[in-house]
Amino acid sequence: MKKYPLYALPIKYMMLFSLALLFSGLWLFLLSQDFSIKYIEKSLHHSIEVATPHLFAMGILIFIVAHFLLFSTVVKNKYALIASQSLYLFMFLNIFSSLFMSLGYAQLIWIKLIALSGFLFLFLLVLGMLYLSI
Amino acid sequence: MKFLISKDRKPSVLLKLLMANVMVAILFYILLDIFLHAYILGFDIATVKANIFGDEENFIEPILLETLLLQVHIDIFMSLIAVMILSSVYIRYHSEQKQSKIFVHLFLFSALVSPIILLLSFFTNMMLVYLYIFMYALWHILAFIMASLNLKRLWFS
Repeated sequence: MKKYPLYALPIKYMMLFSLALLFSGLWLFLLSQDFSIKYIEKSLHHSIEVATPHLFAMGILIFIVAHFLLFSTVVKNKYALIASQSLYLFMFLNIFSSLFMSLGYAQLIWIKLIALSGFLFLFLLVLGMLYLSI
Repeated sequence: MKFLISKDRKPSVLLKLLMANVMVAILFYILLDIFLHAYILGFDIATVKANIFGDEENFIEPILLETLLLQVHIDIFMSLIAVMILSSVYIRYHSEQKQSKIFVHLFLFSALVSPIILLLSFFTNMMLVYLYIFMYALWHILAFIMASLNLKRLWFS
């Protein structure tokens, strides 16, 4: 990064974009359901409609954010690796629990909520690690 | 993204061509995105106002918060990818210029606040819709200039 000090600017803005994306996504999630059985009973069509773009978008966003940690001299590679891999794990749990809930496995709502909370916490942690690195 | 600015490797024709083609794709995306938003929100101020706030005289319901929020959510993601690629390539070729910092700052700031202002306008008034249109136009114009400058360097340097 020393060669291009200006490059810190897009990285800082990317972090703000990511926060806005996270906030709007969380708002959409809370807006679309009322924590009742209605949410759990959403159709498979709806679940696939939500899961498909999120698999691509979340996958690529984690990659973009976390790959900058490769060049960090502050955060050890080991921690970056654990955080980014856990992020992917929570992402898959989050998305696939919704899909399986629409197939009738309503008890997976707990996995969904735990995965969502874990994802939010870890994503903010990775952003914090990145902030310390630039 | 970082490989776009790395000069550790010798200039590669393949990388140059790849970046040039991405610039062309982003240029088309920027142009079509204007039409897409015009179709969703309206081609003129009166239609935009009616679509967001509703119009009792013409029996037009205001846009649903969920619909607007989804549009904003998608806009943030799409613009994130586009601005990161554009600014990375721009910095690779233009970082030595003094005005680059202000240019990149203005570009990234307008792209970030544009969808946020659209969402805020839903809860406030028409003034923010004007501000949204200004910011939206600004980041698209700057993106167009940035992509063109990048293409010029990639093709002619």
